Amino acid sequence: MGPLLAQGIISPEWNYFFAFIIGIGFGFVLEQAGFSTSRKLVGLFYGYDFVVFRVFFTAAITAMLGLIFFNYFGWIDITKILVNTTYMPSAIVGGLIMGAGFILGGFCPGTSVCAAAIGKIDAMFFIAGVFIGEFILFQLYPVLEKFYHADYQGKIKVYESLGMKQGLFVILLIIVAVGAFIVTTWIESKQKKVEY
Amino acid sequence: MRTRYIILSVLVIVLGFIAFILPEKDNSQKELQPELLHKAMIQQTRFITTDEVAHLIISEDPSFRLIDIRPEKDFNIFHLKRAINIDVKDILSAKMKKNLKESFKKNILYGYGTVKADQCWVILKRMGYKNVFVLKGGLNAWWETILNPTIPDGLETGQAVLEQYNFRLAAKEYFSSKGDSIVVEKARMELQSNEGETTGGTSDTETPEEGC
Repeated sequence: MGPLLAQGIISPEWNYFFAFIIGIGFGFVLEQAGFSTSRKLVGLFYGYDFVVFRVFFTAAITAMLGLIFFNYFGWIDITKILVNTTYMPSAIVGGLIMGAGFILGGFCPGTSVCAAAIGKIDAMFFIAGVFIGEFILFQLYPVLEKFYHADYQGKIKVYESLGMKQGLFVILLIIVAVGAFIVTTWIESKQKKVEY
Repeated sequence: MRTRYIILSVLVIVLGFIAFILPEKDNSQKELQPELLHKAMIQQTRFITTDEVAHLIISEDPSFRLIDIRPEKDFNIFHLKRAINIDVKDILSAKMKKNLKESFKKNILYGYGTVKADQCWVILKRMGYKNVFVLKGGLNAWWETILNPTIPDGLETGQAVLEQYNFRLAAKEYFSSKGDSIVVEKARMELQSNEGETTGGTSDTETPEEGC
């Protein structure tokens, strides 16, 4: 029963190896889908290309359904899946900074590495910017620590914070996703085609 | 292409509806084998000292939770900071299970002494909970070591002993400034006047050397 590492089925060393292989596969798929092009990535924010939105929302829905069915069949212990700890103020501020950086730079951290791997110089500068930002955070950490850890909410899930059952949240999210896909496809059809 | 997207959308909605009606299954509760439980009982790693708990509280560490297993009326008189109250008779309740499923690294049980908290630990450990610990000595030890630390006698020397004493002095100041020592003293006096419900009751202060 998964997860493989949490259940002790594989060692941490093998975990790194599998992460490496999966990472290569993830980068390959991103590049094939055109996500190493910054103009395609920021199309979401400028309203002319919603492929990024559809791909990542599809991935989230697929993973969500996969986990639920795997857990039901006893193939995975869903309670052992890593859920990041929620500190709301720092999550909001971090999200805003990340979003601003995404629009300005045209990449998110994952796609920047993907683009840099195929030789895009702007992606290399983006990665350098990521490291500079982390360095600044480390230097300011003593000052920011209290804010960083403010409003600890534990490892909550969205449906728990909304006070609804998991199954209800799943079906609502899927309906929202399908609706969003229809709307974004319609918006794209009204836009002038952008050549990358 | 459009037909394919329609088929996929319908398929996803159907799967979502199936996920909606499927009962939530908990794969995590596996009862601990007796041999493993016995091994865990012999080890002393489940015990947390009062010094460690004082440090966790003072440093506002978010990764731990204190669970007070005494009756509610005792809890309302005095309890450790950030403690929640789940009476020992409710340790198998849905409330306890829900609390233990939250991802605190340490859920620390405490009572007046060690015995009852340790008994609860055995039951919860057998149910498969890994993140449950016991405050060694309970509130009695808290009173003696944190709220009323004693000066090390001449036989106890060494930097570590002095550092421990200094830490306890500082902790006493911290908790006294919150009024804890006054509240505890009142609680002890009140409880000592009630027959059988004393902080010095033998049933709860027995701390067998081997744990349980």
